[in-house]
Amino acid sequence: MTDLSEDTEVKKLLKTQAEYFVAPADLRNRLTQSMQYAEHKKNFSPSSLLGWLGAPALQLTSSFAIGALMAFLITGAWISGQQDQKSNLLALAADHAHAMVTQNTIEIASSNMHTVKPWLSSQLGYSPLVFDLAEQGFPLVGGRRGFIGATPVAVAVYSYRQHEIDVYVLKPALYQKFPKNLESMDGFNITSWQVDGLNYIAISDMNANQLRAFGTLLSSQQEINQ
Amino acid sequence: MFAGNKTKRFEVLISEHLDAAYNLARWLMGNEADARDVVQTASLRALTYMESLRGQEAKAWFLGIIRNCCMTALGERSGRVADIDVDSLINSNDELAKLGTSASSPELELMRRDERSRVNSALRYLPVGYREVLILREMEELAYDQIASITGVPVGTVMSRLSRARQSFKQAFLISSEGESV
Repeated sequence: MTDLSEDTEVKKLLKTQAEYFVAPADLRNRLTQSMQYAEHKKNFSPSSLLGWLGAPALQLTSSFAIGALMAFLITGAWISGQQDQKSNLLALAADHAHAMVTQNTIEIASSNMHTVKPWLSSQLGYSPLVFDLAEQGFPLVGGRRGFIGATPVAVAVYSYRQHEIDVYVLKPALYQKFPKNLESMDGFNITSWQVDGLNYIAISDMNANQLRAFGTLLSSQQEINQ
Repeated sequence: MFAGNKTKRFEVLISEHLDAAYNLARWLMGNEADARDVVQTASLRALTYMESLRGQEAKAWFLGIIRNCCMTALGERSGRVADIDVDSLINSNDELAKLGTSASSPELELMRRDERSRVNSALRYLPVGYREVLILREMEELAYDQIASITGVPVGTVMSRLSRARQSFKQAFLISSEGESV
C-alpha cells in the first residue's frame, strides 16, 4: 500500500509558492449581471404572478401563451406602453440571458437546418435562413421562440466552444424599434445584419471579434443561398 | 420568494468561492481564456441546479461542477467527446524520467528559475489527475471525502493518488533544482 501520510514539504511549497489565480473582476461582474437579467425576467413570470393573484388553477399549457403573457407583463412593467428602443434591446438581452441560464429553452433541438427552419417557419409565420456552420466551428444547436416586448420572434441557436450564440430573426417593422448601433448590451456582444427582407441579431457572451466573424460567415452563407 | 432566495444564495456562492473556482479552472485548463469559459459555464449550471445544494458544503459542490466542466472541455480540446479518463493521463513517469536526462528540454529551462517558478512549473508539468488532487488538498485544504466527491473516485483512490502526486511533484521539483547545477 502506498504511503498515505501528509507531506509537509510539498504542502508548504504548494501553499506558499504556487501561484493562486484570483478570479478577474470583470468575470465576477459578468456572472452577477447575467444572473440579474435572468432574475429580472423571472420576477415577472406568469406563474408567480398567477400565484399572487390567487388563480393557481388557471392552466396555461401553451408555452406560447405563457411567453406572450410574460412578454406583455414585461412590456407593461418596463416600457409603460411606450416603444422605447433601449427597452427592446434590454428585452432581447434578458431573453438571451434567461435562455442561457435555464438551459432547457430550446424547443427544437437539431443540427439539421432542414428541421429547424421549417419548425421556426411554422411557429412564427416567416422563414429565417438557417444554416449549420459546424465545419466552421459554429454548429447549429436548434431553435426556439424568443420574445421581444409582446412579439414572438424566431431564434436560431448556435454554439461556439462553451458559448451559446442566439440569432434573433426580426421583421423590419420590429427591427426599426431597436437602437441604430447594435454592438453590446451590458456584457453581451451583439452583431446584426439584413438578408432577404429579414433582420438578424446575433447575441452572445463570446468575444466581439469572434461574434462578428460568425455574423459575417452566416450572412454570407445566407446571401449565397437565399 | 424562492427566486429571490436562489439569487441571494448564488450571490453568496460567487462572492465566497469564485476565486477557488477560478484557481482550479486556471490550473486545470492551463490558460486564462479557457478558464473563463469554464467558470462561466459552470456558474450558470450551478445557478440552474442551486436547489440540489442542500446541506452539502457549498465550496466542494461548486468545485465539483467546475471540475466536471474542465474535464469535458479538456476532452473536447483533445478531440474526444466523452469524459476524459483521468487515470490514462497519470502514467507519465516515463516522461518525467526523460525530462531528467534531456538537459535541453524547454520545461527544464523554465524550472531552473527561482523556487516560485520551479513550483509552478512542476505543478504545471504534472498530469491533470495529479494536479487536481494537489490543488484541492494542498491549496484549498479540502478533506479527503470532499475531494472524493469532487473527482468522483473512492476516498482510498484519492489518498493513493495524492501520495503518487506528491512523489511526482517532488521529483519534478528536484529535477529542476539539479538542473541549476548542470
